Amino acid sequence: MKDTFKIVIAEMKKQHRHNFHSYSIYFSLLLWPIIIFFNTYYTYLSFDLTKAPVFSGLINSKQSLLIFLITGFIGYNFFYSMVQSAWQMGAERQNGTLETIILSPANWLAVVYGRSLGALFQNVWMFSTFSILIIISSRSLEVNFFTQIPIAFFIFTLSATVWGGLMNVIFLFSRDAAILNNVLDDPMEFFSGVRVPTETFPVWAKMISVIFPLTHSLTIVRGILLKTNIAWMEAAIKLSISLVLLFILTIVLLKLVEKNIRDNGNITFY
Amino acid sequence: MLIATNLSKKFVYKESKGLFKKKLIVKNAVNDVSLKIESGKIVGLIGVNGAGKTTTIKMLASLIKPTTGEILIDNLDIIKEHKKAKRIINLISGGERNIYWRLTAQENLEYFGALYGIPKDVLNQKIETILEMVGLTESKDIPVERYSKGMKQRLQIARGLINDPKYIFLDEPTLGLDINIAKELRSYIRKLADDENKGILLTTHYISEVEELCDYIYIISNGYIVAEGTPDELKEELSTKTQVVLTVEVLTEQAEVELKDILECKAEVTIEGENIHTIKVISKENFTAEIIRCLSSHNVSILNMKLMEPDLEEIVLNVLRRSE
Repeated sequence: MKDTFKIVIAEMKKQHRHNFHSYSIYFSLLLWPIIIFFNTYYTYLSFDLTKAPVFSGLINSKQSLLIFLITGFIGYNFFYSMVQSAWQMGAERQNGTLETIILSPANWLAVVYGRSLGALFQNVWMFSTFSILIIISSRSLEVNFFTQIPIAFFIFTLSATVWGGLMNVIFLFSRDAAILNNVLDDPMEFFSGVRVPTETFPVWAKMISVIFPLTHSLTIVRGILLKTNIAWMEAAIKLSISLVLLFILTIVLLKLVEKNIRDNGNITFY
Repeated sequence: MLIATNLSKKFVYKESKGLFKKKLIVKNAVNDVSLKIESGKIVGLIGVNGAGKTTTIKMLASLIKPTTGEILIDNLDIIKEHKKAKRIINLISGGERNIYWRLTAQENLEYFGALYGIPKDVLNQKIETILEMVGLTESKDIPVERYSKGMKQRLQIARGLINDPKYIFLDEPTLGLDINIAKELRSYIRKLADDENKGILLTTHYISEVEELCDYIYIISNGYIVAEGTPDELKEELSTKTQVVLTVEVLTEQAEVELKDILECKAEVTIEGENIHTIKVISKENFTAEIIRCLSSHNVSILNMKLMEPDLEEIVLNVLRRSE
């Protein structure tokens, strides 16, 4: 267990040292999320929201709309940044470093979660910046930042790490796994309710949204920050089930990928 | 001791045949290979590209699983217990890959050391010692991307020693290095075997390297071991010719006739020159003693004599040619 923890920390450190070697990277990371966020916000504002079905319940003021969108973007970026470590698996293959990792007796599960958590530094930074936006925009709302924001941070970190771990394992299978990421990433942004509340979805879309842990994470976090009467227990159970299933799937796929690599020796193909 | 017995590896892959058709291809990369590596010895595995060297080394390093066969390291079955085995082996490949270029040497070694679960204080001490050993102490905090090729290769060696392995597999470690650095690395590899008692398997394309370093050699071709032995044994068993070149003064006709009689059907004799003659004798066996005896009995002065023993490169080439 101690060794596993050591590997997770080493992997996080390595990811951070390798990817965030200059301060400008941190600022450039914020650029796109902020642009897309404002784009969405002003798109909403160009319509008379008071007459829109979306402007009820969860979103009933400009401030709540702002918080709804900010939480959506924070959540999505948490997931996205942890998945980015999976994208970099291709470079690890090409540089032969993946083979060097496999050469060691390191626990692969620790390596994939370490990779996923490697984006934690980036997320802390992004989360802090967006949190300032929440503070500014929620003057009229009763948000207790000292207790609620750390809870929100914990929920996003946990669920995004589990998701990132799965993505990392998928990328271990093949150099062509990026296709699968494309299939999962954009649908996740849409079906998880990053920009649009899932309550407005038709039944079939709601069924798809259940698959993504981001959906449940956002439901809970928005519930906390917007003080809505969501069914806490139900959302927490759904998120827990989703994370446990993803964790089991990660372990099963990891066993398969280990067997596949040892049988075919294709880890250095790129 | 590392003992590999009857190792075979069959790869099955799909090859596109047109837009929708795919054909299963089976390739036998390694067939029935058996080899041994003793502690403190350097064993060479040589062969042309595609002969099966890298597949063999990857099986020994537990990176790929043999289709059949057994590998024991000090009685540990490394196919079944590959996680345990990885603690006592390491693989060092030639070239500039397998390390993180954006990280410093210190950071690279900290990371790879952590993968082996080495406690931090022990690891720091080890990193210091290894960096000193490979001469990278002063540049340990510089990103690897600013290193020369030789420095990167030395860092590769440092990485391969981080878990203090009992057996090290070196896959073309001097590939692309200039002669000075290659020589330095060779002396370092010898030290690892002699002073640190490491068992080393070396694959290389440079026969001189094999001749200089290896205590025992396996020649692999088309996935089969086609010859094995110490460099001297291979020369003795597989050599096709020994060449003796003598420069003599006043070679009488009688001496020439007798010399040709002695060597008839045993060697190819060429005599050139007028006052100063050059006698060239090419044979499978070494007839130097007989030649000297014959010339001395006719009072022929030998001005110079060169014995050219078969070189390993030629022997390897012959073996490989025969095995094709």
